[in-house]
Amino acid sequence: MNSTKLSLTENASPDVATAANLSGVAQAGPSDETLILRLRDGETAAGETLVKRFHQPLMRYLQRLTGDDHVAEELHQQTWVSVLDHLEKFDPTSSSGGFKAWLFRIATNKANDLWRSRGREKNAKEGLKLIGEEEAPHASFRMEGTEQEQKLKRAIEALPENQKQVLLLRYYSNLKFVEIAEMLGCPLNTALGRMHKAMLKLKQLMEQ
Amino acid sequence: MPSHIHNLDRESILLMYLADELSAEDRTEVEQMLQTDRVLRQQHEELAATLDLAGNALAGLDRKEPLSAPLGSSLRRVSRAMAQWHVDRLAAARPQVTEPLPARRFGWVMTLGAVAACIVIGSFIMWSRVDDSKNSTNVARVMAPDPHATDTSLTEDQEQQEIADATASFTPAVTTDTDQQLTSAEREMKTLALFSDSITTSDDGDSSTP
Repeated sequence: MNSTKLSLTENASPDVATAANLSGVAQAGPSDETLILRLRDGETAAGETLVKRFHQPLMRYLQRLTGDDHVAEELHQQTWVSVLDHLEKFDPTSSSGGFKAWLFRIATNKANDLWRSRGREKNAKEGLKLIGEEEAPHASFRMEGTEQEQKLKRAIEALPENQKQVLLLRYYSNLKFVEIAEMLGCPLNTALGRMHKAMLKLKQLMEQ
Repeated sequence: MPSHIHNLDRESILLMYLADELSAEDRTEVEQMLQTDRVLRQQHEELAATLDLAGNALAGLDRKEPLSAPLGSSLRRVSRAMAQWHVDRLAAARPQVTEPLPARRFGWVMTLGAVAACIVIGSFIMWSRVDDSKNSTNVARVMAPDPHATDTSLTEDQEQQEIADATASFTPAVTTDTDQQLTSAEREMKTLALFSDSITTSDDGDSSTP
């Protein structure tokens, strides 16, 4: 049985039409690497195509990772600025995930920089906060969705950063675990262990 | 695809198997393990169910929660950054070369004009100096004593006589009724005469002047 529903492409909705590009399925239009070469030559339209292609998954990833819409927007902007700054140095053959892995790695690093500056990494390492504990809802908490969906949302926000990163990267970027491990700079077993722990905690919270 | 299962724990192997990221040989080996290991099979089912549950819940959340930053606004912001990045890159790549001054189309005309102006000004200066030198020569000729003449030092009596003769023969150029001018000229002559008399008198006797 090979079911891997934790993938954006498996549950693609009309709002995430670009997700098909992330699954490795043949995408309409030029490849990411071709667009990168055109962008280097000064063709800004190629850059805009890349932005459109990755807008939905990248914004969703940052939104779930930070739990704050405004912060996610800012990190999205910073990510693309950093892409431009290091565009000349990017080598598509240097990583197995190609431009997609590079893009999400930059976004993850920007989020990590944010956590370090805000000191939230310490709070994330304190462990998962049970839903039963009394706490004020997050400012961006929305009442849409079923109760289960809201439980999942709060459970994801309460995960430790390293587990949350692996879970969200797997879902929104659809990168392979090998590519995620390479991107995060950790062994494959470590990345998989974080994913497994995240799954266990989500299961525990959603069954409550 | 390289083999991973021999370096992974059981949960990690299941995740890789569920993600379909194992090689064909590794997948066959895991399926054999699942057939024989009940605990592993139970873990596999629980993990698959959790993955489905989380995936469906996230998809539902994404459908119901619109993105705070729509594509249009994000694209505009990033496009501006891209345009500026491209401009900065072109400016940095341009070599710093000082461009030579553009040649004037009618530079020779200006050169000739400058030379002509110098000639004109120089000629004017020279002419004015020559003219001045002629005047000074005439004046010097008038003022300079005649080197061929004998000693013409006059005595005081002779000087007085000459003054009187000059006064008598003086014919004013202005023939209009200028009685005041003649009167003033006579007064001046008298004054000069008295002055010369006084000098003569003082030289003869009075030596008390300081």
